[in-house]
Amino acid sequence: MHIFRIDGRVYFSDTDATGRASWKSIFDWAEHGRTEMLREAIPQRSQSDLAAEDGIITVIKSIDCRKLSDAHLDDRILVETWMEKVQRFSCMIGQRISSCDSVVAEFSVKAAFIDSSTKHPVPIPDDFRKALEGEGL
Amino acid sequence: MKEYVYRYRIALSDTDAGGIVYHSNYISIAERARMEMLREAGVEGKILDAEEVSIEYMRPGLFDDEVCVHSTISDAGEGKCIIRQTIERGDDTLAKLSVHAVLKTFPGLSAEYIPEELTRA
Repeated sequence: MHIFRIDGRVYFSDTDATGRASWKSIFDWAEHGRTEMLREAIPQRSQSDLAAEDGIITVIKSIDCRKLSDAHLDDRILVETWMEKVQRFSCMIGQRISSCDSVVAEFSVKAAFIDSSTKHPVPIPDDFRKALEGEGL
Repeated sequence: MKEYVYRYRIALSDTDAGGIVYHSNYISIAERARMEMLREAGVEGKILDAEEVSIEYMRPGLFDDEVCVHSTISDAGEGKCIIRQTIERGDDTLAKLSVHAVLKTFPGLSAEYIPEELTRA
C-alpha cells in the first residue's frame, strides 16, 4: 500500500479558544492530503480540469473521524493518506494525522464523483480510476 | 428525547468552487447548533468536546439556503454523550451527523457529568 504524505504546521487560524486545532481545521488538513494525493496520482489532469472538461466534481459522501490527541499552535503536522478501495462510483480513503509523534486523528472517507449540473453520481472517469487504483490498494 | 432546532443561513463563505457548501463547514455549523443546544437547556460555562464525528453527506447545500439543524442528545454513561444531528433544508436532509462528546468546563476543560436537563424531554 502506498502511503502519500504531506506535512504542515498549526497556525493561529487553525486554533480555537481552547488552544487546540479545531475540528474544521483537522477536516481541512485531511482534504489537503486527499487533494495532493490525487494531484500526484494524476498530475496531467487536475480537479479543475475535470470540472471544466467533463463537468464532473469530486464530493465527499461520508467521513468517520476519531480524534485521539490534540494539536496545538506551532506544532508540525503530518497527513498520511492511502487508497483503500476503488468502486464504480466511489472510493474509500484512509487517513491519519499526526503531530509530535502522536496520532491526532484517524479518518475513513468515502468520496464520489458527481455531475456538476445535475449533482447526480457519475462513474469515476477511466483516467482517474486507473490513477487511483495505481495508488496502492 | 428533546429535539433542539437551530436555524442557519448558508453564507458565501460556507461554499466552495464546486458551487456547494464545503464539506468541513457542516462541522462548524453543527458545532454552533450544539452550542445553542447547551444554551437552550440552561447549561452555562461548558462545552461539548467532540471525540468522534461521523458525517454522511446526502445532498449539497447551496448559497443562501436556510437550513435547520435538528439535534438530540443522549447520555452514554461515564460522562460521555452521543449527539445525533441532521441538517435539513425544507424536506431535504443535507447531512446526518453522529458526534461522541464529553461535557467539559470552559475554560479549564474538566470533564463533567451530563446534567439531566440536557437529555430529558
